[in-house]
Order: sequence, then C-alpha cells, then structure tokens
Amino acid sequence: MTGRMEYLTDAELENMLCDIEQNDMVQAPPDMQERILETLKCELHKSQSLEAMEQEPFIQKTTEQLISKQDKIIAYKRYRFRVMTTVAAAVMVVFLLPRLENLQQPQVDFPKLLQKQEELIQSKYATREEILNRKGMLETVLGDVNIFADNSKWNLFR
Amino acid sequence: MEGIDSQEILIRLMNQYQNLIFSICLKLTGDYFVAEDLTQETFLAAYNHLEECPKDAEKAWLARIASNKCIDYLRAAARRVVPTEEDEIHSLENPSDEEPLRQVLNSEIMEELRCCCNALSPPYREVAIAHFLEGKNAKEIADGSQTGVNTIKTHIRRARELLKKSYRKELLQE
Repeated sequence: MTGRMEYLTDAELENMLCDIEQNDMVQAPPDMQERILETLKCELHKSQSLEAMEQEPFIQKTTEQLISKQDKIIAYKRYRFRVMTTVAAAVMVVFLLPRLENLQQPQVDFPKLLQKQEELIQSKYATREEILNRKGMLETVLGDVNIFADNSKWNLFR
Repeated sequence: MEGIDSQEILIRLMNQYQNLIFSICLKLTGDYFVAEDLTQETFLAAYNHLEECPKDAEKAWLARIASNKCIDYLRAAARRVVPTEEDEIHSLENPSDEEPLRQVLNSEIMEELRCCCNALSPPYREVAIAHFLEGKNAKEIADGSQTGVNTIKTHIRRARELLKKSYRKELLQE
C-alpha cells in the first residue's frame, strides 16, 4: 500500500479485486438498484427542469417586455395629456387672470371723484353769502320784521 | 433514445458488478452504510461517463471509480478529525511512519452489523436481519409476514436510521 490515503495503483487494485472475488465478496443491499435508478430519475428531472427554467426567463422576459411596452405607451400618453393640460391651464391663467381682476374691481378716477365730492358738498350746503342773500330777500318780503331774536328781550325770559 | 440505452447499460453493469463494487467500498471504508452510499455514487458517476468506459475492461474501470471515491471519502473524513497532541507528537517523532490504508475484512464488518441488528427492538430487528443480512427486499419480506409492503418499507427505513446511529457509535468506541 502506498503512502497515506493515496489512490491505489493498478497492481494494488487488481490484488484487492482478486482477494474480494475469492474470499470476501458480500451481497449488496437488495434495493440498491432501485435506489440508484430513482436517484438517476430525480437528477434527470432536475436537469430537465433547470433547462426549462433557463429558457423560461427568456420567455417570461419577452412576455414582460410586451406587457410593459403596452403599459409604457399608455403611461406615456397619460403623461403627455397631463403635461398639455397643465400648460394650457397655465396659459389661461396668464392671460385671463388680469381680465378677471379688472372685472372684479371697477376703475376709480380719484381726481374726478374728489371734484364730484366737492361739487356735492358745495351744492348741498349753502354758502354764507347765499344765506345772507336769502336773509336780505326775506327782509324785503317780510318787511320790517326782526326775524332774529333780540338778545336783550331773551334775557328777560331767563 | 440515448437516455434509454444508457439506462439499459447501467442496469446491466449493476446486475453484473454491484456486489463487487459494494464489497470494494465496504473493504476500504469499513462502514456498511457509507459503502452503500459510495456504491450508489460509483454507479451514478459511471452513468454520467459511460462514453469513457472501455468495453473490454468494465470491471477494472468501475473498480477504479469505486476505490477513488472511497479514498476521497477517507481523506475528507480524516480532515474532519481534529488531531490530538499525542498524534502531533507521534507524527513529529516519526515523520516517515505514514499510516497505511486500512483494509478491513468484510466478514468482520457484517458480523458487527449482525450484532447491531440483534440489538434492535421488534419489529425492526426481524426486518433489519432479513433486509441487511439475508438480502431480502421489501416485497419478499412482506410476502413472508402478514404486513403490507409499504409498512415493511417504512420499517426498513426506520431500521436503517437506528442502525446508522448504533453502528457508528460502536465504530467510534473502537
């Protein structure tokens, strides 16, 4: 026997075979064949399913690509619609907003307004000259009538 | 078609050489159940490399695969064992003293297996003796007893597990 745990040489192997065949042959377990064939079947099935799986991702990927492409087209169209509506709304806001503001608030001409107010005030309230003129007119109408109370006589009533 | 032909060749090889290959594995490893597994691996490797099989030297080719697999197993098993201080000292003192490959008599191994089978409790004992020592399959054992084939298969599986535990305990104790 050569060294430690080294593979047997051809001569050693032959000697061992002769020894076993002559003296030391043992019967293998009865279900050995059945188990080997079952293991083989499992391994073949695994390798076949692995091959199928290797192809499957391609098929899956192709299907996914098709599906996602359609989805992507639809998504793109939706996005485009949203962008366009947003732009249109922005344009509308830019142009219409000033007009809307004008409609809500009427234009006020302050100098004219002040002038009008003064005219109103002037027209509503008589001036001093007008009052005095009216008094003069009353005197001519009423004659020699003292329409104003005499203060000296008024003191009597106090 | 090729697959079927290969399977037929494999079945023929198994019918012809399974006892020989099992005996080689048993002799080199000294463990019944390890020999079982290595025999299985040998035939599966042979199936995967059938194109390399020389037509006039099938026996030697299979024997070579089996012996190499056994050596690989023993190397891996040796690596798993942590050497003690005594082993290291011994190897330092005697560097040229390499441990030779141990070959065990198959008859001794089968005798140890028989003791382990006898130590099992019924119904596993009878099933283990019939299957592992007498070489009967599940159908033959079921025909001899009043039990179904599936029950016998379950008993064989359970007996194998119990034997592995007790068999390996004894090997460790040695």
